[in-house]
Amino acid sequence: MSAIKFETSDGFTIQVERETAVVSKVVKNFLEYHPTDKCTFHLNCVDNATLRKVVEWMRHHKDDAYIETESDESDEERSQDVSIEMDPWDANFLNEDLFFLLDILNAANFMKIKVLFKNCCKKIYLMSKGKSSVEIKRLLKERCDFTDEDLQRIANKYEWMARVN
Amino acid sequence: MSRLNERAISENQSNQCSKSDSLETSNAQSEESDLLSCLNDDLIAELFSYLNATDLLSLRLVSKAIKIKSERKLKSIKKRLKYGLIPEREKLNFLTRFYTNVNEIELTYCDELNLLETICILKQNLQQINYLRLDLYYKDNDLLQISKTFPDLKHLEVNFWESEYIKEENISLLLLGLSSLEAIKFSNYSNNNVFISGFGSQVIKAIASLHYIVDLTFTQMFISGNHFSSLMKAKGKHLKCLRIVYSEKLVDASLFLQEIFNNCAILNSLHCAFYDSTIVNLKSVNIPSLTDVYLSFGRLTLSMNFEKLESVENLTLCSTQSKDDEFARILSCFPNVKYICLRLGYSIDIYNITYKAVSNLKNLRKLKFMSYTEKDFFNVKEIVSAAQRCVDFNIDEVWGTLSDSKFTTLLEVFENLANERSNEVIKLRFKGKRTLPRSLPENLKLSFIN
Repeated sequence: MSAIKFETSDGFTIQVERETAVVSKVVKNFLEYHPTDKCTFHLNCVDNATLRKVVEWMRHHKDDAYIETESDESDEERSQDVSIEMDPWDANFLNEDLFFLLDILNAANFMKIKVLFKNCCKKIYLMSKGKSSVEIKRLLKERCDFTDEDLQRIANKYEWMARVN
Repeated sequence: MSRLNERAISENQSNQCSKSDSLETSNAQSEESDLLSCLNDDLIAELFSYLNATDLLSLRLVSKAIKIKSERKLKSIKKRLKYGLIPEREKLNFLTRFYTNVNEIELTYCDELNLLETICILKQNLQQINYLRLDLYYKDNDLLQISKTFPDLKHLEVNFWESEYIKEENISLLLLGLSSLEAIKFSNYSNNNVFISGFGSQVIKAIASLHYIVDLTFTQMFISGNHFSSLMKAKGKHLKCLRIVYSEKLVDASLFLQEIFNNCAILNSLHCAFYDSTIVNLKSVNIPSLTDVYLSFGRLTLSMNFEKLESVENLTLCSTQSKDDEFARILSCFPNVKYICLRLGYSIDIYNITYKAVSNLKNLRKLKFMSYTEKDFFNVKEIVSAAQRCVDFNIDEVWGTLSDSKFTTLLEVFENLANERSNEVIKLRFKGKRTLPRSLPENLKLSFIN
């Protein structure tokens, strides 16, 4: 059986069965143009822990027929209402801290795994929606570089900008 | 590896947070900040696109960098501005300068609104307004001012709330001043006729004189059969989109629909809701451009030489009194339809001939059932099993009153279907959250929507 290898940014190598690896659009496209049994993909921006997590996801979803077609569920469906439809397995799988989720999101984007990418976005959306700016600041661990005066000024506008929306 | 260490730190931090909030904030600022900096701008934009405007507004207060990004997103998504209920000049001025991409305006009239001043500000700050919605309690003079200020308007939507303020000639003057109009939407939300004389000849003439009009919507606007005929004769051949909605029985329904089929040769989308009306002996020639059809009626019978509408892909049918063979006949006129939404009144008597017609739809992939009562679902099972190529089902139970036992029965239909067609993935959407009685077949993907 053929196997595909991934080399992570921190120097680990993970071997993955072909049918799992092709869940990644990058791998799939590469193999279509360069048919081979053995090859190694260098993932410069994916570390070991993240890749293990991503591979676990790919393995679980490797047989899903809809993985390919999901992308035609156009954006228009999303804009109506961010429907938080998510496979319960995925929802549970993505119960991670935000920092790790961002790593997975980056990896899914890099490896072109659309469904995982979307589900990460949804998960992060769920973590941040309806939160106050203070809560978001805490969530993102963002340093606030506004002066109190700035904050007051921006906050004053908030109320009636929210009203026109 | 450094990432891992950082993660350990961050976990450590969040453990501490739960003990003390103040400690957490200071930690976050001193040891680690800016979680989003590991993402590139495109990814951040993608993430932000899931947020609604209120969340994006909250983000403005987080930091300078995030303020810039969230404002960029806010500006790009904001196309429509609603204004009027609490008019304040200074705010309107700020908003129209901030949301520079706005090209759609909704104006609601209230006593304190100075319409002249408002449209001056709009005109000055927003160069590309092409859509205007008016909720009308307007005085007649105001309407003329609008057509003078926005002569290039492409879409006009007028909602009539109180009829006594409006004179028909002023609406027709408004229309005559807007010669670039492509779409008109008139909706009547008052209990009376908008114009004492009905939707009269002056307005019809004004619409007929508009050169670019391709999209018409009339909701509860009472138009006489004669006027509608002359409108269709004048404009039907240019229309791409036509929507007519009546919530009461319409005596002229047959005439209306027949005029549409006689005149509208390049229509893309047709939406006719004639609740409970009877339409008899409808004749048609194929409209090759027609892709979307919504028909709501009591009964509809088609003439013997009704041509099939081969190009229609999306079809919604609502009927309360159709007979089995009539309904089957209607379905068979849309042979290439990909998506069907059905709303069948419980009084409808739909059986084998209709199931056969459903099974003849070779391209049907998506099927939606809309219901207002449990009885509407009585033949879901038969229709679903007739739709042999359909893989995407949607149960939209409008009032959310379906009992658990009925839900279980419905679910069983799809479980059996998934088991029978085990090599296909069957999607099922259900309105409202339910608890599952048991685990589902692997290939049945059930999701709940709000």
